[in-house]
Formats: sequence, C-alpha cells, structure tokens
Amino acid sequence: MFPALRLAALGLAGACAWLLAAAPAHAFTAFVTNERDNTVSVVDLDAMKTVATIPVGQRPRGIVLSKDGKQAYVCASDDDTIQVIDLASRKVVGSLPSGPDPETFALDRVNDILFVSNENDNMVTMIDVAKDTRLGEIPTGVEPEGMAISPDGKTIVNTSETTNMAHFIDFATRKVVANVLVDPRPRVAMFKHDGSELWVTSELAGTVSVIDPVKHVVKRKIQFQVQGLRADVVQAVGLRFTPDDKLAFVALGPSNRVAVVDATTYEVKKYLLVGQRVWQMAFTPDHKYLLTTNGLSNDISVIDVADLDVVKSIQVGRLPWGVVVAKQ
Amino acid sequence: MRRALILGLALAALAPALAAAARYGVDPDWPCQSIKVADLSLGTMWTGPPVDAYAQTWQQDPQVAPLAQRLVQRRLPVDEATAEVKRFAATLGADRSVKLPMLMAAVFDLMDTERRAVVDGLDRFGRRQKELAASLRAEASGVNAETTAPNADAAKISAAMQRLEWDRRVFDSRRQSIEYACAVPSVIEQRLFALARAIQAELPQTGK
Repeated sequence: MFPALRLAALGLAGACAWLLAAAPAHAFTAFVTNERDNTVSVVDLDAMKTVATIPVGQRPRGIVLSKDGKQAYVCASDDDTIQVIDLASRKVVGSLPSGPDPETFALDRVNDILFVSNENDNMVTMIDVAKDTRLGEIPTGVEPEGMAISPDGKTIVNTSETTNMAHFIDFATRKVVANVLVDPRPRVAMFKHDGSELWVTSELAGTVSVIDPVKHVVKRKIQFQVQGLRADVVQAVGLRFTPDDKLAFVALGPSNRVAVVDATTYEVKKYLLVGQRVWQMAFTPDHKYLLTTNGLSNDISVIDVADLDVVKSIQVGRLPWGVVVAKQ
Repeated sequence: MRRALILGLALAALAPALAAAARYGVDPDWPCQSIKVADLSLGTMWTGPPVDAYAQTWQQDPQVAPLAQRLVQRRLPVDEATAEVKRFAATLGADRSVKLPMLMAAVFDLMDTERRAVVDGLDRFGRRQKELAASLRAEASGVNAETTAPNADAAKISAAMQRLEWDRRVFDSRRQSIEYACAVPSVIEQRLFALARAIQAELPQTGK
C-alpha cells in the first residue's frame, strides 16, 4: 500500500473508532405488555421514552425473548394463543400453539422449548419453537402460575396458585418428581444462575421461599416489612437475580416497593419506591438497569443497579404486566 | 322447555354474585373484582419526611389549603396538577421542607376521605345487590314450584315468569353499571400517587 493511502486508511479507521466511541455503547429497547390495552409498548432506553405501540391479542401478559433475541413471544391470554413479534419490524408475524389461557412461560434456551403455564387447564404445555409444534402437556397443580427452568435444562418448575406448591418436573421423563409446599398464592419461581437455589415468591403471604432443588425442601423464608405499611399490601411477585447471584430484586406489588435482598445472607438491604402495583421486572442486557412494570400507575420504573436508586419513570399503556429488553 | 330455559338463565345470572361472595370471604358484600382496600397508606407513595404534624394544621395555611383543594379535583388533568406543584415549589424558599410535606398531608387527607366515601358507597351497593340476589333466588324457586304444581295455572305462571325476567334484567343492569364505579377507588389512588411523586420530586434530598 502506498504510504499516503495507508495514512488515509488509518485516518478513516481512526475516524470510525471515534464515531463508535461517541455513539452509545448499546442501544436497548424495552417491550412492555399492557394487559388492559391489548398492546405492547416499545420503549427506547436511550431516550427513556415510549416510541411505538404494537397492537397484539387480548389480555397480553407474559413476554419472553426468543433464543436469538430477534423476536418476542407474548401470551395473549384471552385469545388462547402465543403471538410472535418481530422486534425489528415491530409487527406480529405469527403465533404458537399455546393451549388455553396462557399466562406465563419460560424458554428453555438449551433445547429451545417453551414451557407454558395454562391457568385454566391445570397443564403445562411444551412447544418446540423451531418446529412450531406442541410437544405435549404435563398435568400439574390447580391454576398453574410461575414457570422456571434449571440452568442445565433438566428440571422444570411450575407453581400452583391453588395448592400453594412448587412442582418439580423432570424434563427427561416429563413426570412430577417432587412437590414443595410454599406460602399462599405462589407467583414467580426462579433458579439462581448457578442452579444452587430456587426462589419462589408468594403474593398473599408476601414472602419468598428459598428451596434446595436437590433435597426439595424450603431452607429459608424471606419476609418483608416496609416501615409504615400494613402487611397485607406487601405482596411478593416479580423476582430477578444479578448475574453473580449476589443480589436479588423482589417486586412487592401494591406496596409500590422493590426489595433489594442480599442473596447470600437473605437480608433485605433496601426498599426502593417505584410505581404503583409493581409486578414484573427485567434487566437491560448489560445489567446496568432493572426495569419494573407498575400496573396501576401505568409506567415502568428504571432502577440503577449499581446505585440502587430509581432514576426514571416512563409512561406506557394501561396495566403494564411483563417486560423484556432487547439489543436494538 | 322454554320455561325451564328461562329459569335456568335466571339462576345462572346469580352465579357471579355468589362466586364473588365466596371468593372474598372477608367481606362478602364487596361488589368489585378487585380486593377491597378500605384505607390508603401514605407509606405506599411517600418516602419523604413525616407529615403527621400537618394533618390538623394544613387547613389553616393560606397557600397550601387552596392549592390542595385545586390539585385533588379530578377535572384538572394530572399533567397540569403536577406542573402546578412544580410552580408552587419554585416559589418556596427555606420553608420548602415544611410546605411540601404539608401539601402532601393535605392532598392525602382530601383524597383518602373522598376515596373512603366511594368505598362506603360500593359497600352499600354490594349489600343491596346481595339482597336483590336473595329475593331473585326466592322468586325463581317460587316460579319453579308453580310450573311443577299438578294444577298449574298457565296465565299465572306466565305473569310470574315475566316478573322474574324483569327483576333479572334490573339485577343484571346494576351489576354492569358497577364496573365503572369499581374503578373509581383506583382512579383516585392513581392521581394521589402522581401528586405524591410530583411533590416528592421537589424535595431537595429525594428530588430527581
């Protein structure tokens, strides 16, 4: 290469590097299901505002990103279907055979299988996403609710709203291998990233049961007491762990608080005032922020994870329920 | 056949009321789907300094009292109300740490009182609806007995069934109209939360 040309090429490369440095490191977009509006709000997290609204089926609740992060699956509960949203075009491009009244689900990212909680059918439906087919159903407790998959993909956990149990299902045999009694109205179940514990939130009791997933016993109960609030407004719902499993965030429903829990000592470090009736949560892909859906104030709160502080509220549709964040 | 069908429909109309009563065992008269929350807690919306000291005094404050009365009016859009909070805060000096908690005490007091009146009204409605359900059930049983009687009077049965159908319609229309009323406590709670958030944002230690 001629020296002059090489210099020019270097200059161009330098300019590109500068441009890349000047641009935001990542552009993240949140997708929020609005249960009452039958829509999904699209929130630009650089601008921190809602930039689009996608019409979807009736009563959208659970939402999860596809394995490649290019699509989102949405439980349209009252339409008895799961809709597939293409995130780039922001359009519904298909549906999956969900079974009746799908409320929540979990994606097994090892096998690309979606496990769907069918609230009115007492079943968990398994869907092979790539083949767009229903693999079968597993009978569980009455009114199945939360779904969790162990990090190795071998154990599926489903919570039952009526029997107050976490059902452990062996994926290989598709059989329930253990039932663990938790507090009333279990909502969300989640494994730590290292698989060492399963946490289950209970809405009516306002507690978290920490379960040993090998012995199938509750090894610890975490309780929440917010100063100045009656116990009945402290209702545990959404749950998230930081990637290092050191902190857990628990959404406490109509207390309008998110509890920050040391996930090693189980001590509550802080209560953060977010929006009204806080329900589900999702991290941004860089785990810098945690978003909460607030069902009554119709907004999402943005929590700075390092500072443990609420930095922003962003209006979305009516009765926001679930949220995912994609790189866009 | 037709009579049996109408009777079946009438009894089916009672089912939601009975199911609701069974579900919320604590207060079976409560007519709404949402769980009854009789009173609001300030702690669900406020992490600022204590406001108890102003509960009895805000009415005497010439700035806070009229502002609070204006802010709680639901015809004033929330955006305008929150802008008004911001304007008020901008006029404050060293008294900011007193006037803003006092304003919070005032709007909470006014809106909690308003909300409690709505909840009491819904309670009364629920009790009346329950009484109506009981009388409708008794009426339906009476018609049923008439239709199965050995010497059934066709004209009498027809009149009784018309009456039953009419009463069922009244019951149903009351049940439908309650949906809007049931949303009012939440609407008040939403507005109060938005005002609390706006006031809190103007406090120096928590403002963002």
